Parts: sequence; C-alpha cells; structure tokens
Amino acid sequence: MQTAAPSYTILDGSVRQLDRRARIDFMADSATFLAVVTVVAIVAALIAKAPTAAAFAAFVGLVLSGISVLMAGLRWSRFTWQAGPESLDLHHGVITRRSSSVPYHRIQQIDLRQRPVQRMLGLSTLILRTAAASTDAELPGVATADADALRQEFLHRAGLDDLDDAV
Amino acid sequence: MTSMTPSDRPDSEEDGPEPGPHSRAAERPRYGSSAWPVGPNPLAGPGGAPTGPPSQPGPGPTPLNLATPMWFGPPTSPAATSPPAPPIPPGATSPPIPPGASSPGPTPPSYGSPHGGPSQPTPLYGMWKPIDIPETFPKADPNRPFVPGAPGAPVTPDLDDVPRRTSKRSILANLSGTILVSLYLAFRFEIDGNRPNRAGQTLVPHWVVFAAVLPVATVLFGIAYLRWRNFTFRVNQHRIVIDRGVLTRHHQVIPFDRVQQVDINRKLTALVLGLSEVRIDTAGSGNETSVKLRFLAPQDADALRSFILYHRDLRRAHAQAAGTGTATNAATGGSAYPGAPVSPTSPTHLPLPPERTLVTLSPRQLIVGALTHNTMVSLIPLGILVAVWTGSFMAIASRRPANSGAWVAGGLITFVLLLFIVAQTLIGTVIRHWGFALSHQGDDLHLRFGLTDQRHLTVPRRRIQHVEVIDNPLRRIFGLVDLHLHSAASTNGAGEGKASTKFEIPVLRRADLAIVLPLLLGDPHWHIPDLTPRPPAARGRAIRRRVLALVVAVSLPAITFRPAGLALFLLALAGIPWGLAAHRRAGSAVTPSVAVLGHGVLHHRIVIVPRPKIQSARTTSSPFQRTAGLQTVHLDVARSLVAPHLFDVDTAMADTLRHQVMTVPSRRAAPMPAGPAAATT
Repeated sequence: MQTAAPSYTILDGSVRQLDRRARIDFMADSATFLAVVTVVAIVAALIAKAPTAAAFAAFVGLVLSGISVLMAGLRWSRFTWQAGPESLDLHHGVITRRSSSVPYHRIQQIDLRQRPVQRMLGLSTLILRTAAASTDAELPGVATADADALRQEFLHRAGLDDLDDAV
Repeated sequence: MTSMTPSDRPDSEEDGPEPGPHSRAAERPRYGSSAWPVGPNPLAGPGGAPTGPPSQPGPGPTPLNLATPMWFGPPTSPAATSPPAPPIPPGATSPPIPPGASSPGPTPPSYGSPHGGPSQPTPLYGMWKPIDIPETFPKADPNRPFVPGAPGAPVTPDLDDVPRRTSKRSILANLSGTILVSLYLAFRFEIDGNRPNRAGQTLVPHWVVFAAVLPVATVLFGIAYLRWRNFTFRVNQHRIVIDRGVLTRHHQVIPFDRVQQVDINRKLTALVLGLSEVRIDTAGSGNETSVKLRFLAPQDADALRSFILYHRDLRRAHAQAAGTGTATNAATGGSAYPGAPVSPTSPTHLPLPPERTLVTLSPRQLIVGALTHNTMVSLIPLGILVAVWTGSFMAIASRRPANSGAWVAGGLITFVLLLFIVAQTLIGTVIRHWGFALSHQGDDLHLRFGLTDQRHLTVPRRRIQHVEVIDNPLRRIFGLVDLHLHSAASTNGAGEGKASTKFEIPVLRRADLAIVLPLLLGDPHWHIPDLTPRPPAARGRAIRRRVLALVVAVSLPAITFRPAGLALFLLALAGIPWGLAAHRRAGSAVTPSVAVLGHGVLHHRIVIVPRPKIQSARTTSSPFQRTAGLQTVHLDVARSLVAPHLFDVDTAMADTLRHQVMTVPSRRAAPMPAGPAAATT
C-alpha cells in the first residue's frame, strides 16, 4: 500500500466502534416489527372484546421489545472495526460471533446506504464489496458527515486504478 | 466475393482415418495449427525474430509504444510493404480454395507452424468469414480484401470488423422446438378433429387445421427470421461487438481482455443441423455478461474461439512488453506463454504453444466413474433411511403396528426411487461426459465432452477460483477421485447446471493428480500438502453432533415401533466412529500459494483455493463453538454460492488463516509449467 500515513483519522488503525447514534437505529430496526405486531394484536383483541388477551399481548410485546432493545444495545457494543494497514477487520455478532477481514486491494465497489431512521439520525451504512458475494464488510452506522471521506479513503487504499483484473 | 459452401471447407467434424495434414488435429483450427498467423515467416521458425512492422522504417525491432501500438494503426497496404510471399511447401496439401474466395486481395498466404511443422495454406479467417454474409450485406465492403495482410505485417484492426450474421440454419435451430410442437398439434388436430362423431360429422375439417397452423407458423418464422436478420457481430483484434434485437436494439461490446471463458456448445438440435453455439463469458452475474452466438458452422465457431483467445493473449503480451507501469493490462497476470516475448521489442505475433492432452476418458472409464459416483454411495444410507421412514409413516397412517404390507410397500417405493436415480446418474454421467478430453494450451484449459450436447469449454487457468478433489469410499477402493474446477464466469454461462460455474473431471486416477494439479495451479512441484488436524476439542464436538443427528433421524421410526423399535437408537452409536472419521479427515494447510481445507467422511473433499483468489476471509463462532474455543473459517471466493469453509478450527488457527491468506505474496499467477506431461487415465 502506498498510503504511508492515513489521511483520515478514523482509519488510523485503532479499534473503533460504530457511531453512538447507531444504537438508536438498531433499536428502531429490531423494535419496529415487534411494535407493529403488538399493536395489531392489541387492536384485534379489543375488537374481539377480550381485554385479558389485549393486556397479555401488551405485556408480551413489552417484554419482547425490552429484550430486542437489550439485544440492539449488545449488537452495538459487540460491533468493532479496525482499519489495519492491509485490510479492514470487523468483529460483530451477539449469539454467533463473526470476524471478517477484507483486504483493501480486493475492494471492487463501495456502497453508501441510508435507511429512513438513519437519515433522521444522520447515519449511513458503508458497504465494501469484493468479487465474492459472501464477503461480509458492512459498517452499519457511520456518521454521514464522515461517510464520504471514509469512502474516498477506502477507494484510495483499494487503489482502484490497479484493480483491473482482480477476478 | 464468392461464398464458400460448407462442403468446400475442410470439415473438422468428419472423423476419419485420413493421413497427413488432413488428420483431425491438423485441421482443427487451433493455435498450434497453421491456421493463424503464428509467425512472421514460416522459414524463420519459432525463434525467428520478427521483421519490424512494415510501416515503421529502419532496421531492427521497433520498441513498442503502447500509446499508439502498431496494431492500433491504420492498415498498411500489403502491396506496398509486403515482403515476398513465402513459398508454399510443395508437400503441403491445401484445402480447396475456390478461386475468388478471398479475392480481390492477394492469394492467401501460408503461415508457418511455429514449431517448424509443415505449413498449410489455409485462408486465415476465410474459414468463417464468407459463409452467410453475402456481398449485399449493408455495411460490408466487398472491395476489402479478406486476407490478413502480408506475412509478417501486423494484423491490422480494421482488416476485418465487418458485420456478420450467424448461420442461416440457426433460424431453423431456434425454431426447432416450436416446429416440433406445432407439427404435433397439427397432427393431433388432424387425427382427433377428423374423427367423425356419432352424428357422422367431422369436428374440425382439414382446412381449419391449415388455416390455424399456417398464419401462426408464418408469424413465428417471420419473427425468427427477423431476429436472425437483426443479429450481427463484428470482431476485430480487441473486441467483439454484438448488435441485436428487432424492436429493442442491444449493442454489446466485449473487450477480449475481459473474456473469462469461451465455450462451444453443440446441443442436439445444433448437432443435427451441423451448427455450433459460441458462448463468450465475462465475469459477472447478469445476462449481459455472457454473449451467445447461435449458431455458427462448427469450423467457424472453432476459428472464432481461437481468434478471440489468440488476440486476448497478444494484447496481454503487448501490455507486458510495454512495462508494468501502465498497469491496465499488466495487472492481468503472468505471461500466458512460457516462451512469450516480454521484452520491449514485443513482436506482433506470439509463438503459440502446442495443445497438450492431459486426460482422456474412455467409455469404460466413464461407466466406472458413474458407478462409483457420489450419488451411488449416498444411496445406500439414504435408501435405508427412506425405507424406515416410509414404513413408519405407513404404520401411523394405517393405525396398525408395523405389518409386512407396509414394509413391502415402503421397500418397493424406495427400490423404484433408487433404481431411477441409479439409471439417471449412470446414463446421465456417461452421456454428458462422453469422449471427455482435458487439454491445455499455454494458459488455457480445454474441456471437450458430450454425446448429445457437445461442449468445448475454454477456461483460462488464471480464472479458476478454486479446485475440489472429491472422493468417496467406493472410489477410495479403486484409487479414483473426481476433480471440480470452479471458474469465475457468469452463473448463467457455461457450467454443468444452470446455476453453476463448475467444471468436472468426472473420474481421475489419484496418481494422476500429481500431474494435473500442478498444471492447474501453475506450480510444477505442487502437491497436496499435509493437512494440520483440528484440535482435540473438535473431536468431541464432531462425535456429539453426529450422534445427535442420528438420534433425530431414527426417532420417528423408533417411537412408532416401540418397544422393539427403540433398538434403532443403538444406530446412533454409529455416530462415534463417524465422528472419529470426520475428525481424522478434516484439516487445513496454508502454503505460500494456496489455502487447503479438507473435510467430509463419505464425500471427502479437499478444497484448494489459490491465495490470490481469496477475496476476503471470515470466521464465525456459535456459542457452542465458543465454549470449546473453536471457530468456523470461511474463505470468500468469487462466484461461489457457498464459500469454502472448515468447521471447528481452534481460535489461533482460525485467526492465522484469516490473516495469513490476506497477505498474498504476489498477485500474479505463475506461468503454466512447460513440462511434458500427459496422463491418460
């Protein structure tokens, strides 16, 4: 790699976590579905004039939401990444833990993606793609303000002008 | 320009014991044959220094300038600069060239074999040019000489680049399915419709059938004709351009640099009509990444394939000669040819390596391969399991304990199922791989096989993403393996199935791996390294998992037929030797050039991934694995649905694998070793 000194401080090789706001995004991500299901169940129970069932649904919904919020927090705290000299390393996963190394010179394409909640929070998902579809290199919560610079830096490290024939 | 009829051309499909240059090998237009401009002068031999391009004055070799390569320049007039035409050796038998076939240019010159063989004055692209494109073709210039310039002169790009159509017979070939269906329908109508009913009337008179069939047939034929008419392809030294589409026009450009693979397929219809389909694949997954030319005459298809491969390699050699600084093509990897010129004085022709046959399979070997196929081995345990489950389901359904009738029925169903699978596997394998031949030419692997659907696949060795060596107990007894090569061509490109980029050497002696694998991996001394076993903790897990799986598998019959059926749970004890064997056979190794993973008991497979092909690496660990301090390693390679992986590696080893494979010593593949190697299984 020609990059002697990283031009962007986030990529200084230290172990990093995602942006703190990503926790809210994760929670929203996992709780939305649960909330919708719970509300539907409660409404259905009320229509059917079964207040006990509605209360039960509300209780279950609350408990599950609590668990999912907890899991989202864990998911955030388990997610670390590190831009080493040669490769980007990710470590994440709550139940199944995953580690992944993606060498910069294998990068074929870099995607930036924003879900609605992410847009509200000012976050972006940065996805590095290689020729292999099974590559796992997704940073699901970097500040949008940094995202473009990150993308540029990864592109630079990828040396995409030299990547004519990686396959 | 007079068109050559197919019968005028040397027909490589005619397989007869003809001696001399008319033998099959001599006439097949390959690099090694003289059909292509392989040397500036037939008398100069393989090492002959090329005379400089005629357009460049001054003696001696001309330094190549990539900015304006000589082969990008305008065509040089052959008349002005050509050296005297080389004499045609008197002994050489020339295929009949009708006068005017290549007029108004000079007589087609002969091109010497780079290996000093007798030259054969075959017109260069005359082989596939004049077939279906009449002089009336809109863009064609009838005054353009269709000869490759003077010998020694660079092949100029706009020498050709004339739009061409596929063979006219492809209209028929593309319509064949429709024709058969409509013939059948018409026939049925004729028979059923004209049968008088009770009242003595015919339901559908003859004229109705004709009235129905005729317009439909006309429309279908018209569409097929228009599609054929609107499909043209143009080839020059750098790329192939396809223009197609009746209503929506498609314009596709495929630079030869990007070609992953060129295949020739002859399905049954094409075979009957004497046609070949050429399929050009680039890396990718979409429809637009593979181009099909349906259909060309077989010799045209072969010539086109050779042309593409030749110019792809020529471009690479040029890029290398120009120095690695400019990088575009230099990154494409090592020289395709052991003897390829890499000096700045790169000539305009490549000395072409001969094609060497590595493996051929006789029908007997194919049958042996089919009989020892993995499917056969899986059938025995699977059959037992299916029989037991069928029996228990029947017992449950009939609410009676296991009676003999249920067992007979279950057994019968299983037997029929097994028989069907056996027959399908046996016949399918033999027909699909009939006449299997694997050869290599420089860096390209050629696979030819098929009885009804003939294939000729050309896979550049550098494009192989990983190799699997697979065996099973039956094959281990006979010392046989099969070899799967996975390439990076598009999934809907040429592979065995629709969603596969796998090529298979269906059966191979284990001893021959020592010859084939080094060639595939580009290292003459390569051999399968000793695998480092997994840690002892993995053994316990391997046993536990298998015992558990067996308990689940026999649970239903065991409970259904209790109390006697409970003895089935004893079967779960088989999980212990099974797990031990699984542990013994699993392991991994990392060498400077490859990463190797081995696992499996019944189907033991050794996956060899060249390190330059590993895109990224992952480890995963479930909670159960973490308590044992184990991880699963995945090596991500292009175009593989499931990444090669190995269960239950200890954490240290996993991290080593994950990081080591990242540091690739060189991104360039080594050239194909030139050792004389020929294994005939």
